[in-house]
Amino acid sequence: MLTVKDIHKSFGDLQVLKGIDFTINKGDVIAVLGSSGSGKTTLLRCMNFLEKADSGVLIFDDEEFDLHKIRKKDINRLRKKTAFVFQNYNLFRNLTALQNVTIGLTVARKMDKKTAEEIGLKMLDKVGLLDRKDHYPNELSGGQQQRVAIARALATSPEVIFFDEPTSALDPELIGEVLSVMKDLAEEGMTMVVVTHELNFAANVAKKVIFMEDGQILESNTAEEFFKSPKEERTKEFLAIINHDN
Amino acid sequence: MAEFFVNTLQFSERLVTIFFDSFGKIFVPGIKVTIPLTLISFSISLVIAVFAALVQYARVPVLRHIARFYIWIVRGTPLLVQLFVIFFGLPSLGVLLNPFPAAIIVFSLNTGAYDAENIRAAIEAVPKGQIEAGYCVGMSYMQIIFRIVLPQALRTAFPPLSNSLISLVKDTSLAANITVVEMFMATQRIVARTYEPLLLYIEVALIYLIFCTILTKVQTVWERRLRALD
Ligand SMILES: Nc1ncnc2c1ncn2[C@@H]1O[C@H](COP(=O)(O)OP(=O)(O)OP(=O)(O)O)[C@@H](O)[C@H]1O
Ligand SMILES: [Mg+2]
Repeated sequence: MLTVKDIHKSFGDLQVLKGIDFTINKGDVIAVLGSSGSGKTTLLRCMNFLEKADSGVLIFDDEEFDLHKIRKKDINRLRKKTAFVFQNYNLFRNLTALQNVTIGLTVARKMDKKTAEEIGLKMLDKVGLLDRKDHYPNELSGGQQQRVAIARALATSPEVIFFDEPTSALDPELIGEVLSVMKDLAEEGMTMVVVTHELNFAANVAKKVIFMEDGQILESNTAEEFFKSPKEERTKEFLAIINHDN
Repeated sequence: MAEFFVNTLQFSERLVTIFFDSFGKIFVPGIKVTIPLTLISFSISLVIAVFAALVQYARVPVLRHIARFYIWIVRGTPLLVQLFVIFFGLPSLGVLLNPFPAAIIVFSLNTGAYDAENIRAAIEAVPKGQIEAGYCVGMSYMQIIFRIVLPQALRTAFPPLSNSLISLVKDTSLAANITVVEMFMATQRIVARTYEPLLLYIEVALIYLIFCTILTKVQTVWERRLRALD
């Protein structure tokens, strides 16, 4: 469904992505692991054009685009097929939970308000926040905000959702509620790419794991193989450190 | 002693009479001229300010430079001089304006320049993440600006904008210099007849104070309401 080839990205002199290739198939749940600064966020942002890659190719549903030269019109069209969940939620602060979920439908896709609200309410129900539909983001806990953000991502029926450390900004006791929503999505067959430090989630929910190191994919495998028999020395070290921290 | 007492009494009676007779004569131009002049100018200034702030934020070629130039000129010259240029100066170019519209133009442009800076600062304070989230739900740049960025920025800019409204109420007294019969001009006319400058200027000051106090109260209530949303 979505393939990227040879993505390169530098910030000034700092090479952050040094040639990344991978493919996302429909229904995949891919966990992206790697130490801090390895380029995970930058990779997701390049795939959603929040960051302009220096070079690389993106193939989405058999259409091929040069990441460096892609036109605004195509960016807008492709973005409508994807959704993004941010580490710090980024809910629209001037809108209620329900409005946050529906704005992608009413404004961006010109859907009529009534249909959009039906969808919005269904999505809020799905993340267990129907009773908070009229609350503003500042009236919600971090976990609730992130669940609204997931509902917002779902509302536009994206083909793939990118998650950038969706639980890293949360208090430990709020992480569970967000992960359980994501687990439900995975079970329903939603295509997801999840940058995370939650190894349990990666091991139990993800189908594939990509391990990034210093701007490159060092190892990629099925989740089972990855955790059972990591190949690279560096991967083993990383897993040991994280397991130790947990 | 008794004579002094009687004199004083008569004197204060006269002052009390003048005070109450004049009140309506000052207050009515306040309602009919000062308030409309303030509200019309302020509304126009908001439109100008939002426009001047947005073209700078969105880096619209040419327009952003025009906006900078406009703000530079207006903020670097005195309001009174601006009034004179438009009302007394423009006729040499064949542009004759009535006092009231001339005052509206000057106050709108003047307040607009200051508010443009307030609004621009507020727009720039909207976190990048809000804009990125807007892109990610499929909105266009324009949709993000008008649905997300501006509503948040106007909320942030509310306190400085209310302050500039309150300043404008007082600044409209300068329009007396270009023959607009607003509150201050009305007062000057009564002073010319009665020779009671101290009393009458204090009286008009009190009426300005009442107007500003009401606005400040409204501002406080609204700010509290808006803060509930932060
Ligand atoms: N906008 C930017 N300007 C300059 N440098 C940047 C920018 N964004 C990221 N970087 C740098 O690029 C490198 C990779 O950053 P990135 O955020 O992709 O890492 P990450 O793998 O997501 O790390 P983390 O686990 O801490 O989130 C880092 O060294 C970071 O400092
Ligand atoms: Mg990151």
